[in-house]
Amino acid sequence: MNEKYLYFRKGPGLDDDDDSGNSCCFPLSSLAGMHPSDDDHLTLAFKSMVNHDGFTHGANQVVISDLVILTHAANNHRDVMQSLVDLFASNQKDGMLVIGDVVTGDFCNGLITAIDTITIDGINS
Amino acid sequence: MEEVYLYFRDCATNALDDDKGTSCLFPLSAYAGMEFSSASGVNSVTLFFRSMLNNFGYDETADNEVVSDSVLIDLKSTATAREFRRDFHEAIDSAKMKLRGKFLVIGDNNAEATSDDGNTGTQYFSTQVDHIEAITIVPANAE
Repeated sequence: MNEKYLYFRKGPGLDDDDDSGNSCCFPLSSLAGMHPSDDDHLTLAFKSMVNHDGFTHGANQVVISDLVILTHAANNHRDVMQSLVDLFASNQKDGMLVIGDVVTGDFCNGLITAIDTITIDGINS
Repeated sequence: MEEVYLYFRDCATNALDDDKGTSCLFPLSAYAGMEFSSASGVNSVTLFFRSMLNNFGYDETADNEVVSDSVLIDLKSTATAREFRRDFHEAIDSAKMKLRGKFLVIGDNNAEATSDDGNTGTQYFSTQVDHIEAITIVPANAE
């Protein structure tokens, strides 16, 4: 089975797309889970991109998950989660699944309205 | 084989579903095991998952650790651990075989929820389940 990749871009403009807090792409196999953050935000957690299979012996350092927070219509967490799972299982020709792209206005379903936050935890040193 | 995703919700209305203690979704590959307990006459099962927010994590700070997330499920008084295990594994096997339907509702306490068949009300994958008692997503560790 070919891997699928989840793409997120926060925008709002094309010229904003210049750091890890604005756009990212994770393999689906890195998805660690989802949970609501409040009435209209859903957090997607991923295995750390830059500390992948990480380990640290630096004082007070940690390896934690990366996060993408989606904005969606209020009180629809289950519907959003189910629609994402349906998308993962769909037979897309293109392996890159655009979950949300604010710059182009492409969202994988009508409930998702924005990418609120992308947090790629910094590399340990 | 496509991944299966397990869904849990422990609140009674849509409006209450607003943080990591009220609902969650885990990939089956994060499932770590189950243990049974009985307290105050309630038969319960706890499902454990690889930490969502400290996924494959590590922590070098004093007195911190990386532990599993968990979902506590209360069973009907007539349920047994063996029957629950059987139903759980059958539900997973069935979901794996489906072309779609990878979203497996283990338990949803929400009386306002609408299932795939159009019915509204609480939803449990097995008649052994009484309700979802608690969801524990361990917070991300901090440096």
